[in-house]
Amino acid sequence: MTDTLQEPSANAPRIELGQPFPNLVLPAVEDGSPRSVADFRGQKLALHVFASW
Amino acid sequence: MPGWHDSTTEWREKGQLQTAGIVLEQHPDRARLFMQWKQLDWPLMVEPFNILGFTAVPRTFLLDEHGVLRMIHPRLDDLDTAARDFIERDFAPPSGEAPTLDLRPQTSGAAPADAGGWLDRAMSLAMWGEASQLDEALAAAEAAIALEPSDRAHFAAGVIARMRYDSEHRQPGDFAQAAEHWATALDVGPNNYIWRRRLQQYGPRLDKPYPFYDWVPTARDEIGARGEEPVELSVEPGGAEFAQPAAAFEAASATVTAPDPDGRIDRDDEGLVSVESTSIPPAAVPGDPLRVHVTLRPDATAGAHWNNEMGPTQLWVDAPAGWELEQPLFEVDLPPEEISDEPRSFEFEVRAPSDAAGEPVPLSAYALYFVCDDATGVCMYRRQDLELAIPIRAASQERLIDPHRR
Repeated sequence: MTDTLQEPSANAPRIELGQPFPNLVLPAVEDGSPRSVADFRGQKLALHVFASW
Repeated sequence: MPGWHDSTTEWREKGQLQTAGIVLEQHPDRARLFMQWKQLDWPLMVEPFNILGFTAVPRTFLLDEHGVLRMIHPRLDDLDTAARDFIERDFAPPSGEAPTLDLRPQTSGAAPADAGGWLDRAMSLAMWGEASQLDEALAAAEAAIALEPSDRAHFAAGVIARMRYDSEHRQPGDFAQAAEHWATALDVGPNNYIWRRRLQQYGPRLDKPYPFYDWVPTARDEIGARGEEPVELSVEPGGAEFAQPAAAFEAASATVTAPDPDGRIDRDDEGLVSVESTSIPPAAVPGDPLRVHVTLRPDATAGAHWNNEMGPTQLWVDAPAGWELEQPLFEVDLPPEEISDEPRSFEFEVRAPSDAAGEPVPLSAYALYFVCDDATGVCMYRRQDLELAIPIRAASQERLIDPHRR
C-alpha cells in the first residue's frame, strides 16, 4: 500500500502541510446540526478522522 | 490515536489544544458509543462518504490557531519535539482562505452539470435530507456513476443504498445493491482501505483483518457498570460485524440431516414472509469464500407475525457441487415473547471451488418458520425456497481477499 493521504483522482480539495485545512461542514453526530472545521479556529486543534472499528 | 490522545492531556487541560473527530463509518452512532465507553467527549462530525478521498483511516491532523495544517499523523516520538513546538508557537495567519466544502442543500434547483455535481447532490440529500429523500439521493449517485463510474461515486451509492436498507423506506435488494457498489468501488480503487474495509465489515471471516464491532458488548457492560445508560444504536451490529477473523476455511465435516429433504412442508405461497439475500462479495473468486446474508421479515402489510412457541426458524443451505459450506443448518434464537415481528437474519459462508468459472452458479437454500396470519388468526409451519445466482469472477480479475494477508 502506498501511503498516499488522498486518492490522487479524488475530486476534492487537497490537504497539504502549510495550507489551510479544507473547511468541511458536516452534521454533528449528536443532533445533526451543522458543524464546521472552521468552528475550532482560535485554538490549536487535533482533528482525528476515524472509525470505531 | 488513543495513545497520542492520552499523552496530550496536559495540553488540553491547559487550553492549548482542542480535539475533534470526523467519523467515517456507515453507522456513526457506534462511534458515539465508543466515545462514551472510552469517556472521550470531543465534538464528533459525521462523514459517511469519504468526501476528502482519504485512502485509509485513522488519520490525525494538527491544525494551528488559523486552521492551517501543521502536522499529519503526529507520533508519540514527536511529543517533545515537533508537536511541542507546534503547541508553543504562535503562527502567523495564512495568506489564502481555506477551501470550503459545504454540501448543505442549495436553493437553486438546477440540474448538476457534471458527475461531481451529481455526486455532491447525492451526498447532500443523504447527509442533510430526510430518509424519504434517499431515493432521490440514490438516483443522483447513479446519475454521477453514469457520467463517470468513479470509486467515490460507487462507494457513495453503496452507502446510500445501505442507509435506505436501514430505514423505513427500505426497498427489496437494497443491501445487495450496496454490496455491488462497494465491490465496484474496490475494483476501481483497489488501494483504498476505506472501500476494502466496508466489504470486510460484512464479508467472510477469511478476509477479515479484525472483528469490527466485537467491542460493543464489553462497552455496554462497562458503561452500565458506571451507572450510565449506553448510547442506543440505530442498527444493532451482528453476524459478520462481530465475527472473528479465520486463518482457514473449515468445511463442515459432521453429517447434519436436512430438516425437509423431500420438500414436504407447504410453501409460503401467501407471501407472509419476505426473504432478502445478499452475498459479500457479490461475485465469487475461485477458491475463496463468500458470506451470504439472509433476512426474513414477516410482511406487516399482509398482517403476519412470528409464533415463537411452536419451534425454531431454520435455514438449510445446499451447496452447489464442488462448493464447500462451513455449516448447512442454521437456527435463530427466539425472543421470549409468544409472538413478535422482528427481522430474522442468518449468515453463512460458502467457498467456491478453485476451478470455478463461467456462468453464475445457483446456490439453493430454504427457510422454515412458524408464521401467523393476523387476518385469520391461523399460525402455520411454512417453507420458503430461495435461490441465489452467484456470479464467478474471471481469474484475470483482482482477488478481493486482501493480498497483504496472504
